Amino acid sequence: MEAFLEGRSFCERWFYKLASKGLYPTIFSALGFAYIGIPASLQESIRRTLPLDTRKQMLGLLGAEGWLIVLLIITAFCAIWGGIGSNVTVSLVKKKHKEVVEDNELLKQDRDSKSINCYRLFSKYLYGYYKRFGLTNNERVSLYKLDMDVFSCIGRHSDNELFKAKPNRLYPKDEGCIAKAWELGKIQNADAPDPKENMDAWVSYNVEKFNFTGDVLKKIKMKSRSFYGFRLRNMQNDTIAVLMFESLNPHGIKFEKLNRFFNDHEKGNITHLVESLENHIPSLELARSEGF
Amino acid sequence: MKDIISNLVKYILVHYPHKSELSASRLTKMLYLADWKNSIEKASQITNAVWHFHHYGPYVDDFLKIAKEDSDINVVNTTTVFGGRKQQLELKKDFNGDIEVSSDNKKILDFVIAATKDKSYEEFITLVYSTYPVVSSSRYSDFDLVNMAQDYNLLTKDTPNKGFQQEIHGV
Repeated sequence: MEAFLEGRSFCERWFYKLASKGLYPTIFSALGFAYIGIPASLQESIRRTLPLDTRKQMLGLLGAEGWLIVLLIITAFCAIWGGIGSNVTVSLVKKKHKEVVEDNELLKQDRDSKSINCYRLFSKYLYGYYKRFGLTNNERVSLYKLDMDVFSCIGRHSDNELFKAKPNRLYPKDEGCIAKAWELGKIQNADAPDPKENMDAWVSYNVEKFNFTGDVLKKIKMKSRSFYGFRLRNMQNDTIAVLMFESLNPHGIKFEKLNRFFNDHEKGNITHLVESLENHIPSLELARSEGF
Repeated sequence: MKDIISNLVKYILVHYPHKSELSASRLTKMLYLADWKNSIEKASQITNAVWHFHHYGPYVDDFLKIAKEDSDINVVNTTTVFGGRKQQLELKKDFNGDIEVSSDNKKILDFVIAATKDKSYEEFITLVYSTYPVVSSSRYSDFDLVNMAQDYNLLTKDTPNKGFQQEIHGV
């Protein structure tokens, strides 16, 4: 019952909780009506099972008929409670059951679907690099694909929850570190000032070095100080993607280690993976060609 | 609004050629495509739904609810070709009522039907996931389709929207 009531107001929770306890009032009302319905001689025999002192005290408060009326009122109340309560509980459970069945259908549909979740796949692939290079909460690795005239993030990993989310924007081809890596082939930089000490200096550096705009830099969640990124080219020598490592720490990325690891063979592996999944990767170009 | 959505759903149910493909999921996403298409072309949605980036793509709770409440529409539990279960929507056999959809909305729905009718579910999903609101948003956020369409139109101002011209204007 607790799980069903999550998100409801305090009053609603208490109403449903009381309604769900309808079994005891129902039992009480059945016993009450049974007592009221039996002959007076039998009622008297039942009353005599109470201790004499208790009976005296009760009769001092109210006569036998008065107690019978009180019992009738309580019994009627319990009968209503039990009846309405079970009805309310059943309708709540039915509603929740329906929601659970619908969610279950969606899950089954997802499981049965043959579509590939490319973002998840690439993110898992990048997780391999993240672990290989011993990156920490201060680092992130992302894969960007050129789509029309913008870069979209098609995979990302960081152990830091703040930095690992799929970005809710696209990246222009003429601005920022991704654009620089795409343009020059590779970037390797750890010279940015510390934004915690001097935000203006950090902003000026990035504006000058990577052609960022001040507005964009203010919105960026991860205010990185070092970058290592390179473009990925296919057999036709067309750039199809950019892989980018970044860190909040100027010494967070071991450039030498990455330079040694990302030889032509390793770059080829990622390029082939991106190309082989080309038809499954959502792309603006595809939507545009269909008129959307 | 409930009537508008009911009529849009009925229009798709009547005009979509492969009735057995019209699962709740596909129909919801077709309405999303219609809203998105209208936002690109006319800076407005054809429904007033607030689209949410659900775990399985663009989603609005109300559509299925409205369809279920409509006495002309049957929601049938059936199986997919892979043996999984799905909820399929269909018009009642004896339905002969009027479907009130404006001519502008009909053009948009016809465009969506034409663009998706020959796609497998996987191709269809890839198309939905390729639309600008999905590509440029994080999961579990709401889509402001009209504003997003403005950004998208700026981004694609040099790329002709061929699909629309061919299907709508007969170019």
